Amino acid sequence: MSAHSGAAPGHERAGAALAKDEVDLPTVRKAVLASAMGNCIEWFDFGVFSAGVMTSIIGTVFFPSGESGGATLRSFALIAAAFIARPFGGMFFGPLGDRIGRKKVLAATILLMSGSTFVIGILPGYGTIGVAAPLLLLLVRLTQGFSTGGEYGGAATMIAEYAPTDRRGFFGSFLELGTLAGYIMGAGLVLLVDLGLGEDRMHDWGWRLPFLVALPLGLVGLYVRTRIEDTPAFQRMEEEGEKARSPLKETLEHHWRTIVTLIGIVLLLNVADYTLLTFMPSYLVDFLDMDDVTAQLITIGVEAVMIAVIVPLGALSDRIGRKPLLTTAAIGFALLSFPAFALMQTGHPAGVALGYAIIGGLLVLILAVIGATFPAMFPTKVRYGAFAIGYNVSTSLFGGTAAVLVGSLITVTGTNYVPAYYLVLVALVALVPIRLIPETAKVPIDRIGTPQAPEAAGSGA
Amino acid sequence: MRIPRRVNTVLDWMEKHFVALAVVVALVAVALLAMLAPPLVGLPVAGFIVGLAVGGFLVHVRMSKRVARVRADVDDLLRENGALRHRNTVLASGVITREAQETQAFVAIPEEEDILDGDPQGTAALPELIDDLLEEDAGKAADEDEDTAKNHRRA
Repeated sequence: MSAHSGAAPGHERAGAALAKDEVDLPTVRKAVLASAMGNCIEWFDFGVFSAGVMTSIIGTVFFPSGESGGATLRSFALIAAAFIARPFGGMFFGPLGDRIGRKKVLAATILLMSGSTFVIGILPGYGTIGVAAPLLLLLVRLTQGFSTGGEYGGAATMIAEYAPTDRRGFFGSFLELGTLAGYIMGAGLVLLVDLGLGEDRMHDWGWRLPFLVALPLGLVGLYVRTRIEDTPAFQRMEEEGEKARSPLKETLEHHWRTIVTLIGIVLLLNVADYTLLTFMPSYLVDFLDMDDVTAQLITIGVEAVMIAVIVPLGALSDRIGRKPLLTTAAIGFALLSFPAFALMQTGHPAGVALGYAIIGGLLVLILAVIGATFPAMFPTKVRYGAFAIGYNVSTSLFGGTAAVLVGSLITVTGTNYVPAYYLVLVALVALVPIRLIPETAKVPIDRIGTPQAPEAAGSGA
Repeated sequence: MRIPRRVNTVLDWMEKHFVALAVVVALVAVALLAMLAPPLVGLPVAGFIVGLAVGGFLVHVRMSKRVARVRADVDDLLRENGALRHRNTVLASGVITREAQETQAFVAIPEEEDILDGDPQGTAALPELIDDLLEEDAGKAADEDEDTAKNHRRA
């Protein structure tokens, strides 16, 4: 990469050179870091909010005092509230990103997301401002959800459009690495603060500390995002004058079938993801009578192993294709969900950890490839919008409701196997769109779906 | 003992996919071990592992065929590249090919003295050899041969 055009900064020239099909790996890495940080912050917030000790604290600080089970459900309801706003965020930020560029929109979303999380840490409780407390908290959660709606689609699009074609799976897996890392950071920080401060101080003011950490993380992410150019694919599209005049209209008119297919696959992803990451820590405590610390350690341990394998699995998908991993995960969930939860019912830490690890192991097969798979389902001119809309509609309907639905059904039915039944059902449903989508590994992202597209990698399984 | 051709083919194929087959066997063994667990856990786990082994082996076989095809394409391209380089070298060295001869057949430009006055396209006829000149040349050639033979005998 040279900078012979006079006073232009290095990163400006890097973007221009990439627009000419050259791959500058340091710039790609910067783009991957910038994208993954947003996801990291989103799931940092989740890790904090859904930690077992935090769900009961939030449910009591911002609401009138009640039973701990009720407090947990209220927290889950607040988690669900954020998801209501996500599709609207996707519909707003997605087409905007297709019109004005990914970079500007992603700078806005990361600032909004981290700022909202920070505000939770400084909100007064019910005891101070009465009914305004839960209402303000709800408003903040809706803002978080709105910004998150534009975040994931844009981050995945940015990585997919920056990554070299033959390593899109490898670089795409860093997005979900950010997810897991953010979640572990959030849950781990809550655990550390809880252990360090003790129950009383944790309940009084210690619970605010993890939320306050989100803002500096967000500012770092914002800084990195402003230091890179927009994606080469978007720049090429701009230069060739192929931008959609009305991305939202074109998305809904011409790509609604692909959006429905995406919703079908994201259904399994979200139910598994949110069940494992949001619901399971509380499931272990409330329904399996495990202590907080053990439950958190099992959660963090399984996710640490997932972090270790996610990038190699992403690299594997560049060789054998995305569909074999997605198919294996779907069939695995259909066959192994019940045995996994049966193992957890033994109550023995080893059995619980093994059952948890089975669910986590199957989930990581999906997480490793979605960063590369989903953006490749749409053409460049509507990619951000179409992906954001489809992903967030599915997340809103099935991800946000997973914890509340499963928790309520367990209480109503009295059986702890409800999560297993739910996973089996969604796995069977997701198997259909997984078989329908084309294989896109090793196909340049600009040429997917065109007659000039080369043969995809892998077996086409 | 002579191995039948079909058996030999199968053995060659197994040798080619030895590592993958070893992994399949290992996974089947693990599946059998999983059957020792209670049926609620053991059967689905064993089924999944066997499915993984079969599916993974199919992926491996298809990938192998694809790799072999790509390698054959690379070999063809290398051969074509070599042939083109050779042709380039030959042309650059100045050796004229038959095709070049056919396209580069220029009309000979006559010398000025051979050009007939008044007819630039015509040429004069060459002088004919007369008999006296022919006899003189034959005599000179015979003397030269005798000298050469004498010189050989002296040597």
